[in-house]
Amino acid sequence: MTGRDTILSQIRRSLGTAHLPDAQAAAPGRLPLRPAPSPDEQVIAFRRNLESVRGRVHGPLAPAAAVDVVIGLLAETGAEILSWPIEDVGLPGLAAALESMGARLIDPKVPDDVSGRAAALQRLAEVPVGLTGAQAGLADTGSLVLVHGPRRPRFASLLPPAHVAVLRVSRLWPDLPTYLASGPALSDTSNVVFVTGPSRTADIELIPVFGVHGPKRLDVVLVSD
Amino acid sequence: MPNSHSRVQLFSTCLVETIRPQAGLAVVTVLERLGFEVEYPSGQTCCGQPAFNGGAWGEAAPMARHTIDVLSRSDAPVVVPSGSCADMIVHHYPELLADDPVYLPRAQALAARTYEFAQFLVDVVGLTDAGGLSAGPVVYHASCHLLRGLGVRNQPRALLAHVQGVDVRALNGSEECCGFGGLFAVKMSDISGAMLQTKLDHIVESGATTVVGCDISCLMHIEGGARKRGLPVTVCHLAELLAAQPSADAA
Amino acid sequence: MHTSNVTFHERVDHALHDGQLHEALQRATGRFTTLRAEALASLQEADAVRDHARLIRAHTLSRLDHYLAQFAEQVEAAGGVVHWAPDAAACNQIVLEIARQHQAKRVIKGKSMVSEETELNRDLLAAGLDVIESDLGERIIQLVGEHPSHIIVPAIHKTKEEVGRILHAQLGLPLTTVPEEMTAGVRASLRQDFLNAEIGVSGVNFGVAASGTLALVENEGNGRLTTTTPRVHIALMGIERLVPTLDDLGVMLQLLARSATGQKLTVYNNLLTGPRRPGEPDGPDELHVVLVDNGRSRVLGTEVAEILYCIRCGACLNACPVYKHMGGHAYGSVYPGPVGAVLTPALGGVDDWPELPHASSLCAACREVCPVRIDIPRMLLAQRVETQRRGHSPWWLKLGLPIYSWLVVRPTLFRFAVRVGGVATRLLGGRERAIRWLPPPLSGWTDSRTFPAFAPKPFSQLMRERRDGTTS
Repeated sequence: MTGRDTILSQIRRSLGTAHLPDAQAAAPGRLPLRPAPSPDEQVIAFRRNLESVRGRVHGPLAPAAAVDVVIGLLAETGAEILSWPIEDVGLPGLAAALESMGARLIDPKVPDDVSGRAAALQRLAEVPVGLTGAQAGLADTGSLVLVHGPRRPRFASLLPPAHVAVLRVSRLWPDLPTYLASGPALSDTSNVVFVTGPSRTADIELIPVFGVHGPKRLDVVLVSD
Repeated sequence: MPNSHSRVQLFSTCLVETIRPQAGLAVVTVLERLGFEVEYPSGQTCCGQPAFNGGAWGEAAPMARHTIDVLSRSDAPVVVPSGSCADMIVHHYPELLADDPVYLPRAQALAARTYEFAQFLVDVVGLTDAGGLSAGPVVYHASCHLLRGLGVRNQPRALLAHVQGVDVRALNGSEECCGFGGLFAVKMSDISGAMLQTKLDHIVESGATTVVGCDISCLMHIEGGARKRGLPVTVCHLAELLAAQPSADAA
Repeated sequence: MHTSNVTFHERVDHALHDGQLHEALQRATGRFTTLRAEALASLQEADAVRDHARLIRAHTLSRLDHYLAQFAEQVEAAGGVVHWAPDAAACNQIVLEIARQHQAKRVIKGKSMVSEETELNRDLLAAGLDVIESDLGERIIQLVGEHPSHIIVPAIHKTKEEVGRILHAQLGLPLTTVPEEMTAGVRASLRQDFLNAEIGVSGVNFGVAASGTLALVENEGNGRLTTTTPRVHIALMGIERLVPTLDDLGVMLQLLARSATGQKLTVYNNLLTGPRRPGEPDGPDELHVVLVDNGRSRVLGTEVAEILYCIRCGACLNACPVYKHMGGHAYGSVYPGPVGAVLTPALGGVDDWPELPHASSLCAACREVCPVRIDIPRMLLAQRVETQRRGHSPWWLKLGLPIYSWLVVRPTLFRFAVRVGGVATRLLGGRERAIRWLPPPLSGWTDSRTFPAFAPKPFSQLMRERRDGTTS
């Protein structure tokens, strides 16, 4: 008998005598969604919640002003950036501004051969800042939803010590259940991450420390359309 | 306030019988003052909880059946001056006797009319002011089976608040276990002792000299620990405070 | 699952005499308890969400074969490889085989309680592999060969001074007592380990059956690195850790962080579906999901199946007065606290763990805080019945309880025994009416308490006198 057969047959046997309080035959379905706050309230909530976990929020800003802020943040750390494709960052005028700043967008591709991989990883680990867009934001937790996929590296929001993210205000959702209920395609890519603030730990005497393995700094630039 | 439902039965519990009879007398005093006729069915001994909690259900079942017999001769509601014993009857008798076709329905019927004392006064009789008299600072210790087993949280505090002259102090961790747990206190006596020390530390912090509760088991445990540590802390059952009245000057 | 080879009572004794441990536990559990309360207060309809979460877990387990098969199918459709491990040995074998196929030398690990349960590290080390724990707390205790003392903060029993010394001695970091400096040092050290590891092993918080998605929650980012940087990602998942859909996952995620640490969400909630796809610049080339049974399917058929609802938040640990006083190591198991007191004997057998079901006063604080309302006291009682049936009771209970029960159903004899007890206790109690010393096994009581002498007259007699009008 395969491992699979062993396990599944034992499960079926056990279900004959299982005492599972509150188990219902039908799947429980979805809880009613809460009434959504207004877009303005959502912006306020997003800011408050993200700032409470040491994220920094800029805006909402019109696109041109947002570009200036993004360039300013990137320039603080140096000229190399690990980035999503600029069209996926979703800020008109950003590509041109990056070029005039002399920014170097590092190739995020990690080859699949062993030595190529090793070299690429070492290279990527040195980049001082990551730049991403966000497919959605969650107001009541101050979270970004990063849906990775072709040409959108996970590492951009993970390896560098600083992460700058651009989020359009129109992509804010009140909360996680409401966002999930809208049926986003979250399993069409190998990785989706909900990011809520910079990396942290309290493992040493419960003292909070930031920037453990992920970024120490998270800047979110809100763009109004 | 006599009415058509003015009979109750008292299940005194083995600890009231042996250790703290004055709590039982106080319960009777309060109930009679409220106009109840208190029946005291003969033959009552122990609800069987220590054996049940220890996993000795074979020994617990006869004790449960005996208690059911004792309390089923009358159909009057049962009042118990102990949250843990009341919880045993209300929630665990049906569980213990689930496979007994004769006693299961009796257990369920008894469970439906059994109440802890404070629960009875507030939820059934409908009052929060049952009188009483107190002196000196007190704290209220919320026994676990009363609180989380029966869901009785505010009733004792409400009754206590209406006691004349009462000075109720805040007790840190008032809803934390005192460490008694029945046989746990002996089988796991070191852990039990550590939990007790924490409870006593909180009592000392509160400045209270009396601990009020609804379970003699917890109170006995706390008092024993206080004595061992030489603390000037006494214990008393809520009913004892409620039964006390301003004394007429000595005749 | 054993984390110690001394007896339960020795472990407890050791823990209770450790003042520093006591302080650390009080601090951690107190903080988490407060934070949890605040976080749940800020969740609208928290009670409804908890009830719903319970329904999700119960329903999923009641159809576990269906959802597990669906999950496996979906993982494979996304390009992952599914392995079925009926027991701990099979799990470790599978991981070793994958490592062998890739000629891997270095394994980096994210937090995985299942891997501790199966003692994976021991087997990897024995096969000559380097194994590095990447969670900060887990790394600290790995460096000194200890086991976690708390599910969420494994190194809580260490002071920052101790941590600084450990990192200095084991990793060569500059000696410091500043957590920020220590963390920066560990970050740099582990960064190289991440970049060089061929295999990343992680746990799974929830598997989503409908899509074959793995959900991993964390704060540090090491989970993301473990599942992105190495070429091969192996995810170990207990077979019970499933939910049917992404919406159900959302419900669980809302509760998990709030119940564990009081955060609304942990910093990173990762959803992983298969290895990296064509066009994706980074991510593992291979994803292996190892479904670990190790007794769970058997537990499913018992009275304590409800323990499988657990989502491993640790709230019960923070609420438990027993845990708060003795800490995780005293349980001697990978799974401490109230959940561990049920799960460990369930998986490992009560014969191996006869004390754990009794290491509780049944106060039910755990049931009160459990996000999915697991009735742990009910299950502790069921396991106590089991230990009693299998003869694990101490001699004085085996003798005393039947005698007590015999007396209780004979009221006249009971009253006589009460009189005898009254005479004896009043004698022993003296003027103080309190007994200060009792012989073993009752000496446990008198170690920290006096025992009251019985009242001069039992209640039944006083009642009779009152009714007869003969009391004053």
